[in-house]
Amino acid sequence: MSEDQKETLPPSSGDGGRSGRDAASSEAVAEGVDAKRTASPSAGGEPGTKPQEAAPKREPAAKREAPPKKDAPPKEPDPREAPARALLEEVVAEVKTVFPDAVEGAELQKFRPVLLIRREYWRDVLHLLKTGERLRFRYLECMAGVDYPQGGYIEVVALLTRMPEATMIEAKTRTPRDAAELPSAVPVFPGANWEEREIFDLLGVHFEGHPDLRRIMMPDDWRGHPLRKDYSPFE
Amino acid sequence: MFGFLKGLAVTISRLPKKKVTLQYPEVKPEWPERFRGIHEFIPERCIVCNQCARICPTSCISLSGTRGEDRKLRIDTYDINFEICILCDLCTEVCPTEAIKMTGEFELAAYSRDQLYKNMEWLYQNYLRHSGAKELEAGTGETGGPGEAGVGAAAGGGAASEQKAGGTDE
Amino acid sequence: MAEIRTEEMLMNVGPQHPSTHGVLRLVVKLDGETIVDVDPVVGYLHRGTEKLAEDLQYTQIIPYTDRMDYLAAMLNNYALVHAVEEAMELQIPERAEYLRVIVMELNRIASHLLFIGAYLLDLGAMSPFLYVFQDRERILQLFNEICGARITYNYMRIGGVKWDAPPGWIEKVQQFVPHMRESIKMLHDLITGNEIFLNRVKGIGAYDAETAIAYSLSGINLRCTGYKWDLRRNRPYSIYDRFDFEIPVGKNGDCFDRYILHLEEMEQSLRIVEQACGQIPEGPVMGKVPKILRPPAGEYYSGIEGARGELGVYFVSDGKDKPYRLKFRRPSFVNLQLLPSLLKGQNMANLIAILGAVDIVLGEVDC
Ligand code: SF4
Ligand code: SF4
Repeated sequence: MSEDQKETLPPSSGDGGRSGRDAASSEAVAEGVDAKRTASPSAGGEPGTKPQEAAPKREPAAKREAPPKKDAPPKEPDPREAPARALLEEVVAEVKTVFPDAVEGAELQKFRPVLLIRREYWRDVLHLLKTGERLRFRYLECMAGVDYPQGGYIEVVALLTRMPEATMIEAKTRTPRDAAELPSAVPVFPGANWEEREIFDLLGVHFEGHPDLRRIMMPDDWRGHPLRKDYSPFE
Repeated sequence: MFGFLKGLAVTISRLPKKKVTLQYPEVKPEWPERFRGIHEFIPERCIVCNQCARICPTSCISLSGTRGEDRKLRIDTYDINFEICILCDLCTEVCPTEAIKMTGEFELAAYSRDQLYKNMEWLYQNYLRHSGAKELEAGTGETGGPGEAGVGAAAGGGAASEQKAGGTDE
Repeated sequence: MAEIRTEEMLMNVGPQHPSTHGVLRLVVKLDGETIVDVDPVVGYLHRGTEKLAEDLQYTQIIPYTDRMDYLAAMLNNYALVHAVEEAMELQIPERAEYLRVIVMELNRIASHLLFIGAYLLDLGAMSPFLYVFQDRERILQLFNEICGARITYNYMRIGGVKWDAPPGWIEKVQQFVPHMRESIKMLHDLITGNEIFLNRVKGIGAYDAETAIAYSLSGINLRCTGYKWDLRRNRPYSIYDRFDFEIPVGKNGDCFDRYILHLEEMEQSLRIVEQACGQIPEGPVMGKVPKILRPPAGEYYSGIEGARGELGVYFVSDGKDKPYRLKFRRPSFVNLQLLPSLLKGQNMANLIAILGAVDIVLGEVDC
């Protein structure tokens, strides 16, 4: 896996065409690339120090963008691309007016706008996305956690939907693996309750302000968090 | 009160209808052709390509083969662990020669876990019990008995009663 | 009269209890007959499907999805293959799409039938259970013929379906449709008017659309409040935009609405099946797919309308043949969250009525 990644990194960081398309994401891309070049390998140090937080961020994004070169030749801009990009820009702009430095990155994933939120702002941004006058993503469709040991962080993803139109955006945030902590989204979305308990149980992310953070799938006295990549049941 | 009586009328109207219950152990259900029951295995068709063992999601197939004098691979052992087999049919789907297939056999209950390990001999006997028997009737059967396929002809106790089926076609 | 000293009592309902539909345990705090608090304890059936999937190729995961919502395994199959197909932008042959829709809608009917039977059984009516099983049996028989299994179908493949319909199968489905219409009418006669039943469910466990949305409910649990939300319409996938069907919605959001919506949805599913059987073209059932499936690296989400609500698959691919992370958004799991707040203040007998109407499958809750 890491070999693959290294091979695909250089071409993807030079994707000039993409970064020019919109102001919001080009900023994020530029920041990410710079950070990657200068980053020290010690990722996921103290929370709050910006360069370190930005460092691991770029890695999977680059890895994700690499393959399109395979299916690039027959690709005209998909009709879904433009509206998705417009929505992404709109949402990013809207979030930035309230929390200027909350958005760490923005991209499209299969025509779904993805916002990377700085974790201190996680709950506030979710609240804004839910209640903001022009946002109104009030339905939490899905929440998931993903472990990225190479980056040293765990990503928590929330898929939010604007209700009658069914447009979906993805908000995600990152927390260092060794001190995984996030503000809980339950005060904003009551439906996040069990999803967060599951993420806590299987990935070991502590959600501050969660009303009832207990293990949900595994027995209460279980050791370790099974969905972490380095989990071994024989400890 | 009225709705309640309406429901009762439905019940009464059902009384003279034919019963649908199947008296199971005495009457066996009829399975369609595609039914995915316990496997059967035909050793001489197997080319030891290992695809079935690789696709199996629960890794319950273990097999081994050797290269014979004619440089062809022959299967030596072929075991399926029915403790963990989920009868998903992926192994029969990938098998290029249809050496492993599924039968209509579905009764797997056993008194001990060990009995759920089925070896090649058992699976071949299962073939003789199912499609093998049918193919014989139709005259299209593979003629190879267990001995020819390199399986120890000394059958395990469980398969003894089926021996005659394997022997008569030679 | 001297005051009677009362005490709260803790009671376990389940994990082995016929009315919890599997191994669900409810720790109920009771004050006399009134429920003070409920804590659902899940996880007894946790098999770690998501972890197992990280070690399996995409095709190998399909049989595992069968075991999540084992009452509607076709829909689970589809949720996974659909997500992978979307990610890889595969073309699915028309006939395969139609076959998928037919089996999915039949499976929805089978699942709803079982809900009705089991729900009535929970409420103390024995016979509807036996009636619905007869019809469900016919559907399972149809499935048995097309894919060789009655519960764990493993029928869909990435890029199509495993088998074409056997000769005469489509006709059998077409014959089944009017039969099922009769059965639905029969079920209405048998149950819907029954006064005892109505007293048990009308106005019980009601909530409004705002609550439902805040708690991320989906499927009938959301539609019973009157909110029209069905992914087959709101975010059309597969070929659902070609069919003419309605989304029935409730009014009061109570158990009765949830019950009646199951019956109404079955009728709509029959309509879809009928249209699909009429339109199904000839042709291949398996598209051109690479031998080893490697979705391009990225994150994907796709949700379908399962029998119990939105069944979503979120997966992260790193460009290999196995998912880096696979997460199922299981409707039962999400829908069950609302239960404690629904039960507070109810009396004990309503626990079963409310729990049953949420329509959970524990294989899916625990995944
Ligand atoms: S049916 Fe499935 S689980 Fe059983 S041996 Fe074949 S591939 Fe393995
Ligand atoms: S796939 Fe078929 S031919 Fe290949 S090893 Fe398995 S049984 Fe033998």
